[in-house]
Order: sequence, then structure tokens, then C-alpha cells
Amino acid sequence: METEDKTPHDRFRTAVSILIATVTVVGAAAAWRTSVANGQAGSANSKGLHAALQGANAAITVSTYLSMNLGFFADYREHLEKANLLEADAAKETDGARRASLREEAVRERNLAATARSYVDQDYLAIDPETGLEIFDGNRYWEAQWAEASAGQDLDEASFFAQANHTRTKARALTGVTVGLGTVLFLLTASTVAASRARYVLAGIAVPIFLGAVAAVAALEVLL
Amino acid sequence: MDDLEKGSEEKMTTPVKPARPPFALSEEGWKHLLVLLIAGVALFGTVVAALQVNSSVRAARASRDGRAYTLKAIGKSEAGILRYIYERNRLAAHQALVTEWALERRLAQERTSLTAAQEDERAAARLWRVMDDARSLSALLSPPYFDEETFYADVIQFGVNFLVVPPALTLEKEAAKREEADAWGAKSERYVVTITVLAVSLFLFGLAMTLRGRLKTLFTSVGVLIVTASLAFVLSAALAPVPRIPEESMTLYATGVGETYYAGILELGGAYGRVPDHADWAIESFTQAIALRPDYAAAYQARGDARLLKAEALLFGSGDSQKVSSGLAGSISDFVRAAALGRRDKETWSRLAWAYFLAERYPESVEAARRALALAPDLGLRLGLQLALALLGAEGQAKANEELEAALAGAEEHPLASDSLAFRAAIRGLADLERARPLPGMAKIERRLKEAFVSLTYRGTATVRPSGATVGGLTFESLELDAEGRVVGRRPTGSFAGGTDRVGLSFDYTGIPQGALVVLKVYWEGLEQTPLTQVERWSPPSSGRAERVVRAPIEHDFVGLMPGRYTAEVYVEGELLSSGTFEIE
Repeated sequence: METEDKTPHDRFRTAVSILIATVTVVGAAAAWRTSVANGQAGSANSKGLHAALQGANAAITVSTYLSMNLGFFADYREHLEKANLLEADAAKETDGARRASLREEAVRERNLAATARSYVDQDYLAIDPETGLEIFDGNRYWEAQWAEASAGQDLDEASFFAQANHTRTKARALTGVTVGLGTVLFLLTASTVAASRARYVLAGIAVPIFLGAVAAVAALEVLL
Repeated sequence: MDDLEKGSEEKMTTPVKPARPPFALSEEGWKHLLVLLIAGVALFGTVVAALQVNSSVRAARASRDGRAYTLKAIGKSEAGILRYIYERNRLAAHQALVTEWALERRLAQERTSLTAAQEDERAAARLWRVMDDARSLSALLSPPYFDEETFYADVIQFGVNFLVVPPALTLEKEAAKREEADAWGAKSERYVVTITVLAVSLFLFGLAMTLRGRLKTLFTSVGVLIVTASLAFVLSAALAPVPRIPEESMTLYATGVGETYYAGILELGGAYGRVPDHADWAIESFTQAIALRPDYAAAYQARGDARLLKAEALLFGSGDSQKVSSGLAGSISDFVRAAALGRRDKETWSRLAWAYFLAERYPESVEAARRALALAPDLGLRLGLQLALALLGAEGQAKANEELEAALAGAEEHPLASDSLAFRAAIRGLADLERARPLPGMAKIERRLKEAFVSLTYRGTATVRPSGATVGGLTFESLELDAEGRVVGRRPTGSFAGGTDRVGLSFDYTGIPQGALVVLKVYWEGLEQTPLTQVERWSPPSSGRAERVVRAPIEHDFVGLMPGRYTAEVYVEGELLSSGTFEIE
């Protein structure tokens, strides 16, 4: 009857073979997670680019409308100033016909001023406390319109790009771990063909690297 | 030695081979099997690699096309704005000609000299011809936007057609390409994972060739298991559908967005009676878009918005409660469906919170408002006010006040400029809500918001400390003016004739300190009229009777204060001390 006595060499080979299989499975898992991380980073990049383009669009839109308001406000101030000057001249005029003509002209200018003013966003008209003159608060207009645009869509790419950078860091770290696992595979495979003492040394180097790699993968998944 | 002994001896020296189980392989058989498996996996791997390259290329192409659409959307948006500005300038110029023409006609009627009157008539005729010519240079001053009988230009519809719909359609095309790129990208990733896993199985098969016995069987079995799972994985990836979004559905969506925009502008302006028609057209467009693409999350969200707008307009306007309830229920259903399809952004949660609130489902409103606030803490005032209202319904005044004060504290941290729209919308909304959906404590919240807004605007803080001043009831007066336009008489009244361009206001007061900030605010039909706001540092005596004039910001010939209901409010150091109403017919 044949008996099978396992020698230490056979037990070592069995252990190393199981270890090699384990390492390949862990390596495949690390490669999968790297792929997932790269995909997430790509998606975040895409969203960030979309937000940047939306932001550029919003900036152009708001500044264009601001220019429009400032243009109409300038027209309003110009016509109002003319009306005030005409009325002042009319008050000083002694000739009746000339006075009436100046007043008529003042009414025309005041009408034009009112028309121009109606096209200005009234919410942003204010009185300059130093001069007492009416002003169009362009800064406040910009802030309010930008806030309104931000309420409905993402305009800032920074957070998305930060997320993408963070995820790419994870992907790079996982790639490094995969290289480490490849090294472990090489050492374990070499140990199966090495001489008696050398195989234990090779396996002895491989095992801690493998354990370190597993810990690294776990840490990356939890922390990043 | 006899035969029996010989047989026994033979049996003892010749090793007995165990019987081979059925289907067991010889060493040669194992070798052939493993070689076949390795070759098969290598072939499978090349197929998967080809699929991966194909998916990667398609993902890159869709991503490129999507970015091109984004740039085109910006271009369309800017082109629309420039066109809109040109047309607005043309409208303003036409309006100026109209006022000139009206003035000449009035002067012609008032002239005592026939020659002068004829000159004015000729001037009016010249202006009429210029106006006619000016209209030919502008799309906004031509049909279908311009009514030549009333001189009314439908600026909103023009804005919808040039500013809203074209970029909305292009952005939808961009979103569709992004979805397509994501789907192809997901396939590509799965193929990459499969190739990696197949490499593992190849390794296991190679290793199995060097092993014997059970280990050989184990490694081979594991390898075969991996290959089988990979095959299923690849098949599922290959068969996974890639979104193909019909262009017609996107066009319908963009049309619906335009109508919703129109309805929203009307609703903001208080024209509640006109909102349902535009909202219905929007709802119909979105419904057709959804019929073409049942998983159209954006269309569900937008339809929810249109339904909510309609319900809100009915609630604050005619008050048809049956239609309000069904509209709100439909809106909620749409927002929930949009969230289920992945549209879990601050806009969806915020609008859902509002819909729940109007439907008097306060606990759900609180939950949705919290989700919105968690996603967008930078919109603290806007969303915080919404949460405070929801808490008012769900948990009472104390919780609502707590949230309100937190929102106001947040508003104090950055310039008011970014929150003024939120304050105005909230104050106006509360005034409407108090009529349509009153809750105990709502009036207090409205008052606190108004005081905080005034205080933040002019004092830089949301905190209001009573100054000890008192202001009596507001008296509104019809004014008698001399030839120079100075007030020479006042007659108390609550109602004024159409065309009135100034209204007298007086009130008794006590204890207003010198230099105190006194603000007079005026609202028309619930909308704050900022040109009528008056701000002063108090210089009159600390007690007495104050007289002021509420007037159009600039005297002109043709329009006075708009007809409607006005409300005036007096604030001292941010504290609301008195209010009153008057009507202009």
C-alpha cells in the first residue's frame, strides 16, 4: 500500500501556492479599485469642467446685463441733468417766450430721463451718502445676480477638481500597491524553485510585503 | 511454494493501483486541459480588450461632443443676450419717441397760437413716421411680439425665444452626450477589470500545471470559476444599454423650460391669473418629453416645477382648492420621481420642500429642506428660511425662530448684496402665505424678516434693539400744490385718483433720537418699490408730527404712480413701528 508522507518541502510548496493564489486575488481586487477610482476622478473632472463653463457663461451674462443697466442709467442721469439745467435757466429767463421754450425743453428731457430710468433695475438704485446723488450700485447688482445664478447651478469647479485630485491620489496609491503585490508574486514564485535556505528567505521577505500591501489597500479604502 | 502462496507473495510486492474514478484525468489529460484553458482565456482576453478599446473610444467621442455642446451653449447664450440688448435699446428708443409724440400732441391741443399748434402737429406727424421706421428695425417692435394698437411689447416672450430656449436645448444635448459618455465609460471600466481578472486566472492555470493532486484540481477549479464569472460580467456589460435620447424629447423639454420661465416671471410680478395657461403648456411639453423617454429625470423635475408654479398661482390668486391640491400632489410625485432617477440636487429637495409645505405636509417639508441645506450650506439664508417655515408648521414657533435666527446670523456674515433677492422673495411669499396658508406665528416671522432686512441693509446687523420710539398710525393725504410744485395743502384720504404721482403721508411720533436711522418703505401689491424708499438720519425734534411725500422718483408727463394697493412702513433703527395702506384707482 502506498503511503503519502508529506515532506516539509511539500508543505512549503503547498503554503506558497495558496499564498500565490491569495496574492493574485488581492492584486485583482486592487486593480479593480484602481479602475473605479480612475472612473470617479474622470467623472468629477467632467463635472468640474461643466461647472467652470457654467461659471464663465454666468459671468458673461451678468456682466452684460450690468453694462446694459449702467448704459440706461447713464442716459437717465444725462437727460435729468439737462432737464435740471434747462429749468434753472428758465427760472432766470426774463423773456416769456424763451422761458416757455426752455420749460418745454426741460419737460422733454425729463420725459426722456423717466423713460431711460424705467429700463434700469430699480432695486440697485441708491443714494450716495457723500454726494447725495443717485447712483446705480453695480457691485451689489453683480453680487445679487451671481448669487441668484449660483442658487440654480454649480458655477465653481474647485470642489469638483479637488474631489478628482483626491480620487486620483487614491488611484495612484493603489497602483503602487499593485506593483508591490507583483513583487510579492515574483518573490513567492522564485521561492518555489530556490534552494533550501534561500526559499525561506524569499518567502520571509514576501510575506511582510504582502501583509503591508493588504493593510495599505484597507487604509486607502477607509481614509480616501 | 504453491500458487496460493505465490499469488499472495505477488500481491505483497506489486503495488496496487487505485481504480480511476470516472471522468478523472491522467497527467497528460490535465496538461491538455490546462493548455486549452490557457489558450481559451487568452482568446477571450483579446476579445474583451477589443471591446474595451471600442467602449473607450466611444466614451471619448461622446465626451468630446458634450464639451463642444457646452461651448455652443455659451455661444448661443451670448448671441441671445447681445440680440436681447439690441432689442431692448430699440424698445427704449421707441418709447422715447412715443413720449415725444405724446408731448407734441398735448402741446398742440394746449397752444393758444394756431401757428404754434400746427407746428406741434407737424412735429407729432414727423415723430410718428420716425416711430414707424424704427419699428421696422426691430423684431421686438414687430409682430408677434409687438401690439401696434396698445404699443405693448412682449419682452418676456422675446426673452424666452432668444435667451432661454436655445441654450436650454443645447445644454440638454450636452447632458445627453455626458450620459452617453458615462455609460460607455462604465463599460470600458468593466472590461478593464475583466482583463485584470483573466490575468489572474491565467496565472492560476499556469501554476496548476506545476502542481499535483488536490492543489492542481483546486487551482484549476478556481481559475475556471473566475473565467465563468468574467464571462457573465462581460456579457452583462456588453448588453447594458447606452442611453439614446431622442432629439424630439430634448426639444420638447427646452420648450417646456421656456414656458415655465414665462410663468415664473408672471408669478414674480404677481400676475397670478396668467400663470396657469403658460404652466399648462409647459406641463404638456414635459409630459410629451417623458413619453418619449420614460427615465427623463430633468423633465420630471421641470414638470414638478411647472406644476408647483401653477398650484402656487392658483393658491395665491383664485384659490381653486381642488386644482391646488391636485397640482401640488402631481408636483410632489414628479420631484420624488426625479430624485429616484438620480436628480438628488439642492434644487429638487428645495422645491420638494416648498411643495410639501404648500400641501401642509410639514414633517416631510422639514426633511426635504434639511437635505437641501445639507447640500448647499452657502445658500443658508434662502434655504434656512424655507426650513424655518417648515418647522413652524411641524414643530411650532420656538423651533422656527431658532432656525430663523441661525439663517439671519449666517446672512450677517457676508454682504447683504447676495441675499437681497432672497429677503424680498421671502417677504413677498410670506405676505401671500398669510392670506392663503396662514399658520400661527407666521406674522411674527414676516415682521422679523422685514426688520432684519432693513437693519442689515442700512445698519449692517440683523439684530434690532428697540429705541423706545413710538410712531402713530399713518395718514395718507391728497396734496394741493402751487405753481412751483410746493405742497400748500393736505387732505386725508385712503383712495386716490388714477394718474396721481404723489401721495402725502403724515404720522405722530415720540422719542425718535437725533441721528436715528428712519426708513420709509413702500410696497405695491406686495412688491417692494425701491424707488419710493426714503432713508434719513433723524434731524427734526424727537417728538411731534412728521409730514412726508410718497412720489414717483421723477416727475414726468405721462404716468403717475401705478394703480393698485400700496402699503407704507416706517422703521426706526430697523424696528417696524407703523404701517398703513392706500389705493390708487
